[in-house]
Amino acid sequence: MANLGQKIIANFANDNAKFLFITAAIGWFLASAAQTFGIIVNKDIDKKDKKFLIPQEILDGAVNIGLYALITAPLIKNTEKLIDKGIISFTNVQKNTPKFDNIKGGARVLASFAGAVLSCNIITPIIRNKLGGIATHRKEMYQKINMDEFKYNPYYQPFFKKNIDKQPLNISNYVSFSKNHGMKI
Amino acid sequence: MITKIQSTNNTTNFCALKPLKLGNMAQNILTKANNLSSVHQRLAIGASAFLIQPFIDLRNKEVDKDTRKVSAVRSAAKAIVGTATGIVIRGACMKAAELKYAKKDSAGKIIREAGKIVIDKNKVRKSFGKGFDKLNLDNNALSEAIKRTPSVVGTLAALFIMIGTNFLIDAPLTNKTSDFFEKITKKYLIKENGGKANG
Repeated sequence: MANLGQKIIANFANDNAKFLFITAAIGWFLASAAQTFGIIVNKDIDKKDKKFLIPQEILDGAVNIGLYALITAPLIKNTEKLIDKGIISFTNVQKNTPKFDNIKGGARVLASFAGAVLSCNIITPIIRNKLGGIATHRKEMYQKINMDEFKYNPYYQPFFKKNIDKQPLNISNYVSFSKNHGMKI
Repeated sequence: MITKIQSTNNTTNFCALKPLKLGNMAQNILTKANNLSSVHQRLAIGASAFLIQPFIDLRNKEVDKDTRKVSAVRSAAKAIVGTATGIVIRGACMKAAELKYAKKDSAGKIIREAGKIVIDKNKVRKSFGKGFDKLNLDNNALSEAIKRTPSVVGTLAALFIMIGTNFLIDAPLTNKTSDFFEKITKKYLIKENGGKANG
């Protein structure tokens, strides 16, 4: 176990870009878990809303981390490939020298920064805003289903046309409805 | 500028890319970038979130105009609080790790060079020697890796601490800051609408 810990830390210290990539993903996972836990323990949110909000929060976190990995990992890998294949080269620096390795390491670190900024601050918010519309619609549908299931819906008038003002069908507005001159029985 | 001039099937054909030669200035920047830590990463992500996300929210056509303004303010508040707590916790843990592996003189005083704590390579090797031995690194790579080790240890410790602080500090502080900014925005919106609340 101690050896594994030493191996992990040595590997991370040797490959800074990989280290930053992995720890950022862990950080987002923890932040997302905290938000989800916050909803679970929040007494102000009722159980029915939690049923909707918890999966929504988990999905949000999964989209965040998934997009981050999907964009950043190939960006780091392709930056490395471009340098290895000589597409990106450096004046007066020979390949496989300590200076070359440092520069290449720096390029990979910057690629990981660029991937994080691109995925987390540009692509994810745009997708989240788009999905937000769908989520709102889902919430409305969910609330409607709950309302239909547990409460009597006074607007539901199977044999009569709904009135324009959407007044509940009680005896007083039934009388005014039946006295309506336009009504034909 | 790299220009993709040709590609075969669905894969990127790197051989067909126009070569790019980077000069001394770019090389210096990249060399320094190799030693950037998680604090720099959090700062880069947080600062860009503060600058970009509110504008994305303001252009969100899925919600009405007032909601856009409120969500933009919430995004800015989230970026400020998240970045501040992230940097403080990571920075403190990294500093603690640096002090643990600091080189000391005969009087037990920490040695500094250009204001920076000098890392005692022997202390680091004593703690993580088996891990470094398995990597078979050359002297330069080993020296660089040892220099970065306190940053790695500090960041990992910060992640453990952040399991707790995310719940205890980050989430409630983000909510309070967002609510505070939201109230200010709503007041501003009511003033803008001639004393009437809208949306």
